[in-house]
Amino acid sequence: MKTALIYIEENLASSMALRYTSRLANLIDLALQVIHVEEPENKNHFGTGWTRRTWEHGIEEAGLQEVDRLLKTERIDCRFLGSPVVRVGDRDSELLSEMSHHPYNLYIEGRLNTASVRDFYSLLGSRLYRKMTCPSLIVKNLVPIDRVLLLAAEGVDPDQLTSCFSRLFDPESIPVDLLYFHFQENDSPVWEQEHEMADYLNEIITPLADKGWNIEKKQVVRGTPEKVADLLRDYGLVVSTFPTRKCPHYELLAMLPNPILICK
Amino acid sequence: MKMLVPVDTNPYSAVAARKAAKLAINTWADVTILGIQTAGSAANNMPDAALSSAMSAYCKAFLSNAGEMESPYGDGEPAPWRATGNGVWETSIASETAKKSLRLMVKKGSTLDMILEQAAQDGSDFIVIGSPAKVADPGWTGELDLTAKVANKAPCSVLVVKEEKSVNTVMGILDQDHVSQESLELINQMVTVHQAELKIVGLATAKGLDERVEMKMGEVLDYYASKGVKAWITMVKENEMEDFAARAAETSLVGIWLGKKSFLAKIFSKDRVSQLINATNSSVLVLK
Repeated sequence: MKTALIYIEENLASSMALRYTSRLANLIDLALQVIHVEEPENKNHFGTGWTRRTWEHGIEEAGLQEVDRLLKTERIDCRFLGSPVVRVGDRDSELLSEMSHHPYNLYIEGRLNTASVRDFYSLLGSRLYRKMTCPSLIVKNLVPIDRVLLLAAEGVDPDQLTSCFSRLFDPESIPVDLLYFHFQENDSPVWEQEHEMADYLNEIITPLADKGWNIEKKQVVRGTPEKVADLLRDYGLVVSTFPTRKCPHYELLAMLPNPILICK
Repeated sequence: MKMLVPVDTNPYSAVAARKAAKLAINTWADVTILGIQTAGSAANNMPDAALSSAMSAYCKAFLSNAGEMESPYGDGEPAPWRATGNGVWETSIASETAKKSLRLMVKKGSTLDMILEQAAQDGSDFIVIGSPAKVADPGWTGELDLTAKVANKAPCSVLVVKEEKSVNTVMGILDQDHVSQESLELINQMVTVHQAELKIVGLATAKGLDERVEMKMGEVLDYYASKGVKAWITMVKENEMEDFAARAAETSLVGIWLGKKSFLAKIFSKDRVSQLINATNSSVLVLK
């Protein structure tokens, strides 16, 4: 059984994340821990001792009601590890603290897809994503999970990609394709011969084959992140590694409307 | 559903008639094809010959695009024109098998006024109007930016049809929580007719997406999911919206919900709607 920490708020992004996770639970033996963090605006204004504890308790209660409302609305069919956890404080710190106490296999949150790559950069550039040690699933849209794409590019470590993916998914649980993305400024994407990147692709294909996976399509594409993102819309999940610097691979992850699993 | 299809003798009106037929067959709409005879033209007691001849051709194209087997409009020929008022002529398909009406009408007067008047008289739910693909192409006589004016002033949703091209995405841009059932159905029809994917775009302020808009996007998403329509969600900031819509219009059919409370009505002011319609050679759907 894999364990996942899912962050929710009472909004559309979390609603989609919950529903997507419910679909994911059909592929992965998953148990969920729901967490919500209330970030008070002026937490220093509320004194110390009993006064502060009462104030924090009130905020926690409000947060818990918010989480309950969403869970009741969505009524997802998933196994839960326990009651929802509600914390008061800085979101990144509280989530990292929860992860340090309980080593989850996966972190999940919903984020509405935006037209601006800057929003995605600031999400992945946040302390939470930089410090997190487990893979993270960012649900940008609610789509059926009928096919997974392993996305490789310059800077993507094949070991990290394959080991993270095979730790989460069981062999043959879902059809998997592999794509290597090259950047080019030209508008129209160009498909290239697979053998151009054969050595690199084999570093992904072979270890997965050893574990019982059969990669169905292996492709190499050259294009702009925007156009390539458009080509990949049919995938229910795109899996790649955490980009360490701003590069075309990072931009492609930002532009993908699909849910993405970021391996660490 | 009641659909109004204003036409003139330019080729874009033929494109609009064909598009209207595809939508009409899906919605079983009562359709009025309206030709406007500008004041001073043609004889007094009969519709202008060029216009009436073009309208007969559109009618034929409409019927053939509506499909012969399942068409609710029958397969007859239009009856002879008859005057039904001062400067108003009408005819319709004389078919015993027709379940829905297909009416041809010519009115004399100002093009914009006649379209708006007819939409009000019929209680039209939807206007489909052709527009030149490029600003330099010949367009509606007697009225500059006619299609943008119709889109702005009509009480119902308006589809401005340009050249025929394949659409793989239908985009609905939303910034308010008032979304009429008719507009949702129209989007659904557009998705069906084009066999396209749907993208629901929420307009966000600097503070993010308004809670009510977000809730409405969720409802819209659920609505389409229940109909088996694949829908993507995207959020766009106010200051990026205009460029985003113009770019998107190049490859998608862009639908803008322009309600009274809509901030989009400010972003896409009347001039901006004109710009969007004029700047792209794609069709634009203004939803109300």
